[in-house]
Amino acid sequence: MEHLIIDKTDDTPSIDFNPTSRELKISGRSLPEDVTTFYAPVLEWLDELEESPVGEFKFIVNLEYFNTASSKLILDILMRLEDIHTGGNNTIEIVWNYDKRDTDMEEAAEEYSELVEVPFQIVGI
Amino acid sequence: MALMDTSLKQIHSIMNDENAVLIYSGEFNQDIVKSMLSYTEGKLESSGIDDLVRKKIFNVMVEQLQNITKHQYTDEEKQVVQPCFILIEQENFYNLVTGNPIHIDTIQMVKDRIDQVNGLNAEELKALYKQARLNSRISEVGGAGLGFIDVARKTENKLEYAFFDIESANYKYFTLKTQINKIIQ
Amino acid sequence: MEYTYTLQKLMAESNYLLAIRDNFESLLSKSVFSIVESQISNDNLDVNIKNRIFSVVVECVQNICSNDKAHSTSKNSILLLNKVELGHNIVVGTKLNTERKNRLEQILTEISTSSIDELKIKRKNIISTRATLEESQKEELALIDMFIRSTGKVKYYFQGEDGNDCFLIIEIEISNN
Repeated sequence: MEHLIIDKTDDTPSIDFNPTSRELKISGRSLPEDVTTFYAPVLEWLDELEESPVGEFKFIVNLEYFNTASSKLILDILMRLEDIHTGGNNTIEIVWNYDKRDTDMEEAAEEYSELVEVPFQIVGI
Repeated sequence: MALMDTSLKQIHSIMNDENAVLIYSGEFNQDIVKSMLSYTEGKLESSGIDDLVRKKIFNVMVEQLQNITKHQYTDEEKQVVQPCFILIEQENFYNLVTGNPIHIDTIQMVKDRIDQVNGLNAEELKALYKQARLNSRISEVGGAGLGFIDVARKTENKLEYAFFDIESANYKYFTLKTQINKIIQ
Repeated sequence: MEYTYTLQKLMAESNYLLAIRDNFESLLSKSVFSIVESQISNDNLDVNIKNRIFSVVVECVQNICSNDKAHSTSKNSILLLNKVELGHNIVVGTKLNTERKNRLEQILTEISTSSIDELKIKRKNIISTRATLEESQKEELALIDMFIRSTGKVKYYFQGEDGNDCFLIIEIEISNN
């Protein structure tokens, strides 16, 4: 598995999927118009992970904002993580950090945690 | 706020008639000016406008907007009407329009200066600019002297202006329109 | 030049800070987002409120406004921001063809008669599909998001006859709480 790094921009988050440290990080904000193109390499990487036994992974979210188009792709990512977690080759733990004043984000994280069967921690910072 | 707000309808209608693409009406400060500039820059970049033209527009805008910020005295009477900035996009050129309250004592000076620069050609403007710089009687014209000359040189078009009466004994509303061609002749 | 002063008066009358009339294609929309951000950054607003205003503007610009690259000279959409006593209003307007008008009318009728909880369920259902979202689903998702973020304080109005002259105006209020 390669180390996937995508730098942050004004409208896309940074992606840092490190198979050595086994930390998968997504940080910043997500509002690209073409979400499919942006997230394609992310989903591809996760598909590859599902096939490769590596170990215990942590998926760490630090998103300050995402548009509705991204909300769908984020769920796509979480569902892939669920597939990986229940697939047998690896385990996943999700840690969703949010600005503790941002109750909307807290609620979004809670809703996502109800949609996937993966250990899910929601942390207000 | 009523949805069938007549001011909304009228604003939209005038924007359509005058080809206005942006209006800002409110307080002017460094941050606001920066955001107006950055908006216009972004819009011009995405319109594929020539670099040189973009720079001209940017520079003229800086002059016009800084002129507003500079002359914002803390005078209650002046706050009667707020300044505004309007960006107009026509097929072959852009117009930068600014409006701000101006003290009646300054009106004649401003008129004279604009009429003067409108009557000069490029060479004459260059000479006037040099002279004005040397004299640097900034206090006399409140910094706007060099500004109008500079704007006239950059826009290569006449400056248009008008004064409107407002609810104030000592102020009128000064509007200035500059034009920058999309393609340099 | 009279329109300058007239516009200023009209803007001031309703406390409009910003009015943009353009073709909101993707490069321009970035500039729109950043100018709106700078408008709300100066206020002493909660992170929550700022995100709600920002979110509504993003969803309006990306999903409601026309962003037709093919007809980039026609400026068919407007966006206004105004500050009211208890919060901010975002007004979005866009020209529509008959097909889109009918579609949006149906979506808006359904959404405006649903409770916030029903909307959250609708939202979950739309994003849970494994397929790529269709245009109408993106629009629906965007409108649901606006309704939820504003706790239902949304008004809308279709203006004009069917055919090319139809215009939709949506007004969303975000309270300072």
